[in-house]
Amino acid sequence: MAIFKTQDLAVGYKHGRRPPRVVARDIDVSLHRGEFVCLLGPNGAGKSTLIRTLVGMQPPLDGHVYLMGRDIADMSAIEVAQVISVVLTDRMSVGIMAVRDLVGLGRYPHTDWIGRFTEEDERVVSWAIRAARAEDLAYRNVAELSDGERQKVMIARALAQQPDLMILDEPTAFLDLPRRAEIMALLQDLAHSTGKAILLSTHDLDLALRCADRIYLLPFEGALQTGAPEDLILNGAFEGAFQSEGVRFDADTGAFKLNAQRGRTSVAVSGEGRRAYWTKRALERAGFRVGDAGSRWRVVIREDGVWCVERGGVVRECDSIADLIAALKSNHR
Amino acid sequence: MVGMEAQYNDEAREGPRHAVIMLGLFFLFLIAFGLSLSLGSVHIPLAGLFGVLTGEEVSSPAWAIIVHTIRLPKAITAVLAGAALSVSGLQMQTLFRNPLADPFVLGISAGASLGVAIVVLTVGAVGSVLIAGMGFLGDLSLAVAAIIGAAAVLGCVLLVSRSVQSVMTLLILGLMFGYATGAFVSILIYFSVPEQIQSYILWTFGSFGSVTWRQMPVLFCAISLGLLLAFLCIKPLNALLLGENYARSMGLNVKRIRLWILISASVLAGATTAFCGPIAFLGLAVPHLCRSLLHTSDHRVLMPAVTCLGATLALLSDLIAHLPGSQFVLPLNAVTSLIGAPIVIWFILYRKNLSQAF
Repeated sequence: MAIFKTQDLAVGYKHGRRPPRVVARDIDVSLHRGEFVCLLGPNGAGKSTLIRTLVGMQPPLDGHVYLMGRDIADMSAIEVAQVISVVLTDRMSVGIMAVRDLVGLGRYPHTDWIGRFTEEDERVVSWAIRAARAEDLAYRNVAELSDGERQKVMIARALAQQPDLMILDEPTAFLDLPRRAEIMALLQDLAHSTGKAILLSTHDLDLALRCADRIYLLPFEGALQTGAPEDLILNGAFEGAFQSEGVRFDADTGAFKLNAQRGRTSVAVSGEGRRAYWTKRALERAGFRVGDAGSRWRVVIREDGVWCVERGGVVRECDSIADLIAALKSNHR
Repeated sequence: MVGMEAQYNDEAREGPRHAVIMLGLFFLFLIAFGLSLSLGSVHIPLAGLFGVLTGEEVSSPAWAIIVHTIRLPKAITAVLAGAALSVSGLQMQTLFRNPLADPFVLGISAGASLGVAIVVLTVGAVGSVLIAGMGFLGDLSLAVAAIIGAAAVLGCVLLVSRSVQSVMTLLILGLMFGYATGAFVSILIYFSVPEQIQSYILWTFGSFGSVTWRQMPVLFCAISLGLLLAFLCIKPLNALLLGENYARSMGLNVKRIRLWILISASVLAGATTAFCGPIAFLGLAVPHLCRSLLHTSDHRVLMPAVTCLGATLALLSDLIAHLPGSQFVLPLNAVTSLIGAPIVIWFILYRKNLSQAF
């Protein structure tokens, strides 16, 4: 049975008597145990609205969300909290609090009226801190954490709630690339090792494609599509969703490319390996087109690390890529 | 590794450290309570005080009268008011996640002031004989007027809070209520004679000395009820440290809890203002002092600490206001702020952990 399922869900905003503004509609998705799912989509497509609706921060405009087979609208806040825990983008200042106490707040739906801990609660908190790989942070003050450390702690807090489903809203925003990869790998591992379902929204296309078991793809206008990342690339769903001026999704490499409309002059590059790869990148960046051997310009990368620019028999030697670009540009003019 | 171990040990000491500080606060409270009974325009030595309290014969019969009719009700009022304002301030600061919030941000004291201003400035002119003739009710008239004023504002706030999503909106609305009622008071003052204005100004100075034994049960019940509610909200208040969205995701019914916290904080602030006047500063400062002293935002620790320190500081402020050994009495509000502000400033600059708290 799916942990989580939506049926004909429509999300958006309702203000007073004005007609509601629907951001996305007809959303039918489900989540199973141990699944790691990334919600992707361009800005403004409604990722945050969908996440906010799923975690109950705003009511759905239409349709139903089912949790363990029960309609979430019929469940009490405590009942929902025992199944779903969240990591939000809210920048909060929690006050003077040790990391372990913050993680302990995750026990909220399981403790008595004043929040006293049993041995079981202590055990779960220790486990959550370990599972989020935040052991060395346990006794630090929350106010002193970096963004990446803070995110780990918030994940630990969400784990301490012992949910069947974790929903994270852009957990990798504000982080540098290594930290982003670390968080994604951590979440993937948690989903697979603990059997919890994890759903997160992200702008990190590349990491999502590499880590996610499944992708929910929410295009700007149109229906939400789900599938394995590779399937969505091959059937062109990605290209469709992320199409925009100046940028296109390159299905060959799984990355975005700036549209090379400026490449009027073609340059042939001969050389091998890393040096050749970055030379081609540099040429595209500078507005040239990497062409075949018949091009007017030819660049030969020599073994000794010198670039030779040749046009009509005239050869000029350059000892860096910056030099090469400058030479091409000045001659071009 | 060494550093980590040090941190670990620090944390392991945290529990006992809190217990020691709490014990210290409690002793300080006992001392302050004793002093406030013993010191004043007439000094009553400790032995005499014991005699009076246990009902034995003491060397001066005046002592028993002084303690029973003046100092004991005043001290109990100070304890109740200090605890009430401080707890109410703590609740407001957490609910609004704002270090400048105090018990009066929602306009509660402004409402009470309006009630009192109406009685003193208008009814007082035509019906002072009337009030004097009402006996017990006349005795209570200022308090009753203040309670009605505070309750009216509280009613407005609660009514609005049901339809307001963001707690920030509520804060701004509270400020507006405060300004509106303040404007009414200004108009009343403008059309009043100097004697009336003076008696109104006297009320705004605040005092613990005007509560009689007859009024005490009312004050005691109102503040006990407010404190009970506040202590029942400890766990939700801790969850609210993470913000309302997280609190909701952990199973908290945010709107309902917000309502209970507002009721509790307003009853505490309203009852205190009704009987003692608008006492400034304690409600703002005591929560900060406790957070700084105990180095925590955990309400399980803060709530009892704030109750205790609030009562202690109220007793000490009143003691200082009465300038023991002299016949002079300073306005209570002047003392709380004049002596309290430098202490808090020093504390905050010295401990440097205020910025972490918000």
